[in-house]
Amino acid sequence: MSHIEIVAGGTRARKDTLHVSALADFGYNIINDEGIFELSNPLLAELLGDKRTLFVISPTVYEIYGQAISQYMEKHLPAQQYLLTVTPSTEVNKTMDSVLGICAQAKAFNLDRDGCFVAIGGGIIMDMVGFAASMYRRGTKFIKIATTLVGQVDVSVGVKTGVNFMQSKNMLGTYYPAYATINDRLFLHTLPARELRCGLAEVIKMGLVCDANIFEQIEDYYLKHPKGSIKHMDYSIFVAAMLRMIEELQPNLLELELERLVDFGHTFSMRFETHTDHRLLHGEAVAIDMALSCALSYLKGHMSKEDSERAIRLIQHSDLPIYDAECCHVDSMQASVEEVRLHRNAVNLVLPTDIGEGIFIKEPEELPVELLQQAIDIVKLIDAEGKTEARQAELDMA
Amino acid sequence: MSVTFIFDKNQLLNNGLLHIPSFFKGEHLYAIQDELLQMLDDKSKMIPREGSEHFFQKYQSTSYCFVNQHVHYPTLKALESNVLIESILNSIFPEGYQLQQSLVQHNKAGEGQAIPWHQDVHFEKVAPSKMFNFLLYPFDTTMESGALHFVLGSHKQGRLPTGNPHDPLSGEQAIAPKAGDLIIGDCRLFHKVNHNYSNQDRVSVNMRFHSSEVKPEDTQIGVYRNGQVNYAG
Repeated sequence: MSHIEIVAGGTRARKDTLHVSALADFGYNIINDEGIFELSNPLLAELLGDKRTLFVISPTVYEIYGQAISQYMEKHLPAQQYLLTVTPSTEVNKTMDSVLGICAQAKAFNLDRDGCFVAIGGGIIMDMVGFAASMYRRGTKFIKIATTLVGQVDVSVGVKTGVNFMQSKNMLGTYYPAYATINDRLFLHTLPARELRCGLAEVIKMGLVCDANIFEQIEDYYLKHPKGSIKHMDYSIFVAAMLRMIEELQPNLLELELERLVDFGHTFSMRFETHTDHRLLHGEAVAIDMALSCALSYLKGHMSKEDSERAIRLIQHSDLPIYDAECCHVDSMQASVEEVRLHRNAVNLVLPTDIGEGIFIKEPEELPVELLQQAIDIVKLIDAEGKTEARQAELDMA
Repeated sequence: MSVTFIFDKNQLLNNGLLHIPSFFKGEHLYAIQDELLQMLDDKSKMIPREGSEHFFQKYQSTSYCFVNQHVHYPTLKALESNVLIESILNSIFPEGYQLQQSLVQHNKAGEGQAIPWHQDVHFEKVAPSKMFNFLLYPFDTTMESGALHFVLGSHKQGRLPTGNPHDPLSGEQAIAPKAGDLIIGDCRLFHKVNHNYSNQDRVSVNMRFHSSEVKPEDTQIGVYRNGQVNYAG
């Protein structure tokens, strides 16, 4: 199991300059397993060995799995070797203060340089604990155990950590790989429908711009099970999304290259989240952003009308929002474009072309006000049609 | 099974107040909301208002109160032994603690009800950091519907300044908690709730805990700007 290791390099003196070269191995494993807190499962215990360990768990996960986690740890580790802690895990709590609180707890527990943080929860917990681990004693091992679908398909596979700062999402953070990541599909069984939908938004994202097969499998599932639950979808769809995500991330783990297909759905959404005080969850904001982007792609001639509508309708069919009156206006979209242009050195708005492929829009001038308004009008119309159809279906059933 | 809840104890002890957003959420929060609505609908559980006219008039404290009624509702009852709240209590009261009472306060939409500046305990009877309100907000509040007003650090100052019940205090701040937020406040802190003239009800759940070093009989006197009240009658 690797963490960050210097695997090659050297030093050289030339005139007044000392040059240092160090090649780091940044590799990490993502382990998909089942029943990781079953007493007979040795995986986590073996990963921890004799490391002093601070567990940081989200309140909801602790409520549901606290007893199982406690019993597992009691069986496998001496009591003085680990501490179970809980910290709130919403976007509002995703702050530097919370990260410092985690660090303070680690210090109080005498977590040493060879110790380990274990984050158990959704993406927010993993981002916060990862950030704490990357700073604590200038870098301490941490293990991610993702309990949400967003966490499993999105956050757990990458190396980004961070917290929100001054109304900007993930403004402060680091690139820091986990010592290991463990995904247990059984956690999805207790996940609320809204959280599952948010995770599915990230899976649809990968299907729309990276892998048409993922998109088609979801489409096929809903064709066969129109009212089907996400938790009954074949987990291999989610694993495929993880794989595509890793393939996209791996050559660019430190995001030096700012053209990233995985940023699809993440241009307007950040503002949608923060400027609604997180009324919209991350996946919901991403869903609206994706719908608007599909409409924009059609309007710019990059995507056929049929594919654009097909994509928006799949998002809609998943019970994800495609339109929100508070967010969907040109001022907000233009402000988002300006914000990301500063962040990415160009707009780099990802638009799907065919299902499974995407392109980048680089300049703000390519997104004039009239075009943004037309895109809003399209999703608003489809949203209204969808609600009318749903009402009609309810009446028919009644 | 033991667990530690991570919170900023120093901030709580120094400021006398700590806001933890989204302490409760999801299904747990919905269950709390459901039970509270049942309680508010059951007038038999409310403290009778007859005979309290003098109190309402003098102190201008007019909310509907439900005292120690959690016992009738399983989710609310369980709050008193919630493992995360216990973790916080164990940290701030290493000597041990006791629940003094639970209290649900309801300021109905548009009725203009309010709770004026007060301290929940007498400053000469209970020292700072020896008695805390755990205030849970089951529904969103707004600045208009019943924000919590307070003066940070005032729990170390002694008596609430005398004056008219609702007159402003130097250094006062306000916060409008969202559904699921928890606010922990020192019972000596100067705090109030403004008149609710909005179209939105304001509900808070308060669990009041004191150190085991504090005598229960010393926890009964509340201090207002224009007097003090023995809540025990």
